[in-house]
Amino acid sequence: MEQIIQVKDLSFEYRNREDQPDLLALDGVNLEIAQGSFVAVLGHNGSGKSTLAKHINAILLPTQGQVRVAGMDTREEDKLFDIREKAGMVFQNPDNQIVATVVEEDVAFAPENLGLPSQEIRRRVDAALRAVGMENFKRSAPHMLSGGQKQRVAIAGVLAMEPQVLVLDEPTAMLDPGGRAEVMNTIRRLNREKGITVLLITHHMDEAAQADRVVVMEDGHVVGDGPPRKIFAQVDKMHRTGLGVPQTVEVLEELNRKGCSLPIDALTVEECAQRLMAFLED
Amino acid sequence: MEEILRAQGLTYVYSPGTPFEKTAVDNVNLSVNKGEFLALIGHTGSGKSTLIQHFNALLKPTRGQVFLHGRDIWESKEVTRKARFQVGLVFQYPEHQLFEETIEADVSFGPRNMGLEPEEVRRRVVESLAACGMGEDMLQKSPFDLSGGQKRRVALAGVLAMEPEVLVLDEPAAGLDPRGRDDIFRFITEYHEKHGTTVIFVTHSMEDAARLASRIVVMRDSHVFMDGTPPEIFSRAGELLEAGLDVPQITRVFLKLREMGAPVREGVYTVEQAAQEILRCKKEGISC
Repeated sequence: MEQIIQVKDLSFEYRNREDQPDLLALDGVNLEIAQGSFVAVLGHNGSGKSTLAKHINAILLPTQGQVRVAGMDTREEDKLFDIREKAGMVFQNPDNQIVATVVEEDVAFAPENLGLPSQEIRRRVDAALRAVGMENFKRSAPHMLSGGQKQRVAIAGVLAMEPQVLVLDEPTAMLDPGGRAEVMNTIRRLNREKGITVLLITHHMDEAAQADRVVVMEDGHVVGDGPPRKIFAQVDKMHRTGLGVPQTVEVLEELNRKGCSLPIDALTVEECAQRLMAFLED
Repeated sequence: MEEILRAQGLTYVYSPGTPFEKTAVDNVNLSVNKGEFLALIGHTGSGKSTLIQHFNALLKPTRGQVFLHGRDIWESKEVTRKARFQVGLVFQYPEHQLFEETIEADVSFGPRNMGLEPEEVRRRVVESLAACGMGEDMLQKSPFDLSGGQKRRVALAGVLAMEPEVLVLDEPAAGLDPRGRDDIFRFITEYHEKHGTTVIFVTHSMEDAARLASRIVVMRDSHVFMDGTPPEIFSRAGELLEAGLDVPQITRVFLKLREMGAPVREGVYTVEQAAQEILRCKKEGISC
């Protein structure tokens, strides 16, 4: 499979900040992300996960090492616009990302700036709004929408550039449970149905559990990388990093600590119930 | 038990007489006892934030009354003013309201407005910052140089410095990472235990409510939908899910087990309870 994102020996230091010491936020990170995959990056604030995300579309440039997006080195200035077209970014707070007073005008912002003909802009805006299930709100005012709806509009704004990679930095952190579910369903659908590569930065374990692959970051390093089933089965390690594991894993681990021997890789409510049922019937 | 706060027939209507008229809180009756640790849960728009803004007289009821220590807080200007100090309200994302140049000045704002002596203000500032895990070395720093989690703790200290009898928090952990969440709830819990302060916190997380609260009030469509201890609330997990509310993941596992015919009991909401319940069923050899 083609590696759409290649991160090689990446280090990044925040320097020359007012009143604050220099900070090595990323320290020798290596990471390859296959086209079409859904990767969650899990870690605490300060673990370097957002700094990593900002390297994918060249908001930040490596202090050392290299980041390639679809083969393009992010340090090549003349490739900047191509890179940002390939890799779109969605941030935590939808209110900071929405600029227009009408939903469809907001979504049109990026394709307008790409200088596309108006029929093409129309096509892209409609397609992007359909992709996030907001086509019925195209003439609405963004401030009248719920948090989850606003975040979906922000995602549509990025989709209108037709990127291959969607980088989302804690897109659900400010949303309520309903809004979180809306946004996660949208992200999963875009990955499965449109084949968009997704890099989801999060500290919600249940969100990470929905990805194909989970990368765990701590103190600027990658400390875990694998399928969620494998990552969350490392209960002690996850507790040590202060991230914890889903309750479906925790309960099986707790039973094992009391002398049972159950397989602990249950990521969903159904899997966990089945494991417990099998244990009771045994 | 001694009652400290009571909402009686409380109704609040936004923009009355306009096309945007909305009854956000509808005839709510709620009595809170001294020293309770109460979680208020509900969807966005269920009325919980509107309700808590009545507790320190930020909003005036359209109908009904709010009593603090048995006195209507709108009885007189003096009582209203007192209620604002006795009930401390920590807004959602309170760090957005930090404004002073130093942490000391920011945390002093509340107690200074209470007209306290400078030494008393200083004592309260130091103590409330300590309660939020921050030492005196932080006093002269700018609140804007802090991390998000630290800023929120300064904002919390600013309310604690008024030494309120009732501490009301609107989603105190929103947007924080797991460690930041644990920290902020640890400080709130410790403060509650040390001072016996009554705590009311709004949350979207059933897990946090289950873990921390002695009582849970669930709001739905401007009404109180459920009110009880965590075991009472979670024994009605099916109803909560039907109402579109979240329940802890482990509670959902147990609902599923019961659906599959396992003889496990209702109302399980922590991992420890779950493990014990499974072992009990196993030991008693109850066949499924």
